Amino acid sequence: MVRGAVVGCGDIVGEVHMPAWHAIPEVRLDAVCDTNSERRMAFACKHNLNEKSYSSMHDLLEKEPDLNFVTIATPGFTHYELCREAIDAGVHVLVEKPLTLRMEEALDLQERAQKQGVKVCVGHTYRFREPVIRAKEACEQGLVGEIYQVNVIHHGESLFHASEPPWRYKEHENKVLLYELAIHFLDLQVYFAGPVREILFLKADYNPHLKANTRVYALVEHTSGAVGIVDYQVFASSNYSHFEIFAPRTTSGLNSSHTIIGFILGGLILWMSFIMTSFGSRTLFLPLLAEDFKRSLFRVELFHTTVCFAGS
Amino acid sequence: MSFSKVSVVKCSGEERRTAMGRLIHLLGLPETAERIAIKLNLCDYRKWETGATSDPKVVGALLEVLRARYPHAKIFLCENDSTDTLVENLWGYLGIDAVAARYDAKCISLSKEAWTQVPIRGLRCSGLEVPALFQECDLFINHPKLKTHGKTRITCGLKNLFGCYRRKDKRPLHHYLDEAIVDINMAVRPHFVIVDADLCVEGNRGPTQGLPKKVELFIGGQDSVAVDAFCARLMGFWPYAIGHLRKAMRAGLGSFAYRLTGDLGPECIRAYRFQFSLSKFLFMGIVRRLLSWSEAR
Repeated sequence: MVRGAVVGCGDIVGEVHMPAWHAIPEVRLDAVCDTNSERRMAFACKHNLNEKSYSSMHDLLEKEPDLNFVTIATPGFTHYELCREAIDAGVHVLVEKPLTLRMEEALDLQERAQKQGVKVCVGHTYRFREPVIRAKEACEQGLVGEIYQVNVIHHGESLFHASEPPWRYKEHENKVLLYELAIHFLDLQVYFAGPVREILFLKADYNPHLKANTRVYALVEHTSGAVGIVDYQVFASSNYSHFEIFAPRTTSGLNSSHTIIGFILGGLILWMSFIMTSFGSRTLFLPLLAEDFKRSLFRVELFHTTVCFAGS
Repeated sequence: MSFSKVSVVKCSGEERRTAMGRLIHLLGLPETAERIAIKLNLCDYRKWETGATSDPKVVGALLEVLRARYPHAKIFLCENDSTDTLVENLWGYLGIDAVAARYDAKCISLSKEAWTQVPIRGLRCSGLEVPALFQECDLFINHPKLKTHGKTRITCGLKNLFGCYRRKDKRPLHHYLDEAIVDINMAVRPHFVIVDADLCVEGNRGPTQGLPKKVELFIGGQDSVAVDAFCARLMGFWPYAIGHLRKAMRAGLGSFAYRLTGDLGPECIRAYRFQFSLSKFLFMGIVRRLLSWSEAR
């Protein structure tokens, strides 16, 4: 049995993480930590953790010395401090993306984790999407040849949607565009093409009225020799999302709006999504599937993480 | 049977200010006003060229006319946060703040202002919070854009006030959109509606992602239902087929019977018909019902 604690009781934890954790019998979540007492108490009450509810990471680690891991799902700018405390206490960490907002902080965490012999896993859930798993398998089996180009194209809408937590509205402070949104695709880019050797071109557009970066364009070269193109926009005139892999023997495009859904519910839904796309409302039926989809996605990822933690 | 007056002026080939001046003259605005509130239509981060949001040039024309008529009045341009937007950064993004400054008007983000509870005998609720500013003004103008809407077919004066619901997340209200529109129109009663039908939106992807359509009209009146009914006919819809319009009329908010004044006769409106696919609209309606049924389960 692996014992863990939840740090941060926001929507993503309540609606997505917890059902996924509950589906893994080898895991027992024993404590909860959040600075917001009202939210923490409601969460603890719902999950029968009333006696083990803490307002700081320090208290949590001090009073729960037997923890195997913590799962950190707080705003990105808090990750460094929280991860550092957990690592220094010798506890494994599953942290929501981004790991940190600065390179030197990430390297510091890596060094500390290596010294302490603990594992740190960052929640890049897109790696566990069915099309991504299939594409990765195909690459590893040598079915497609060596990847020479990976493109990320995402044109999204407002950053100020009501479903977003208010701290995300301060894009410039939290670097939401890159570290909360684009990071999923950038992770896939690295996942398929390897680490980045050099950024050949980079342009980011800052909008002073919105106090936010609204577009980022980049051309990068990976260590594998592959070229990566990033075109990530919000407040865009169109709304679509595309991830493309180019290799000598095939070209694969993963359109997150319907391909993934199609994998889940099969041909009928895929057919429906194409029909609906032609009606210009491809996102309309996403809410129907989003919850179950997210839960299953996290279940795969958290199970994977648990196996890693338990193995150590 | 009494007829509400709906005034229409063409704004092609002449200064927008002149056209707006003629419309204001036709509407018969009061001689004096000290506090004037104008509810704009800033529902998305889409610039005026898309037709989705208030055109700064048209807002400027309206302000210029009002400023000339009421030189000492306080004029407030008002908008509320929508599900997708924070109004505080929309003023600059859409260029409305510069126009407001030119005519000594003030941009008001309603979510940051005082709200007051108003009792109503609504279709869904018995009371609603509304911006206190609207109650305090002696002239309140609703200034919507004319657009098609994938869910309600048209969005004009009545639908523009849907933005006056206090909550930012308005998605739950879309489950009973027609009734929600009627209820907010019971709580918030503008003195005049002045529709910016210069650059409109057509197609099933309205109101924000439809196709811009140049119509070059300004339409106004005191009866929101009559103005919307005329606009519906102009766009090629039968007013009774528009759910919120029909329910608003039945709730006593106004009349479908109107008398046109100005540049356009009833015989001319066919030329303005908007593109909108009824089959797509009905299909999406069925899908939406299936989804809400599935979510409810």
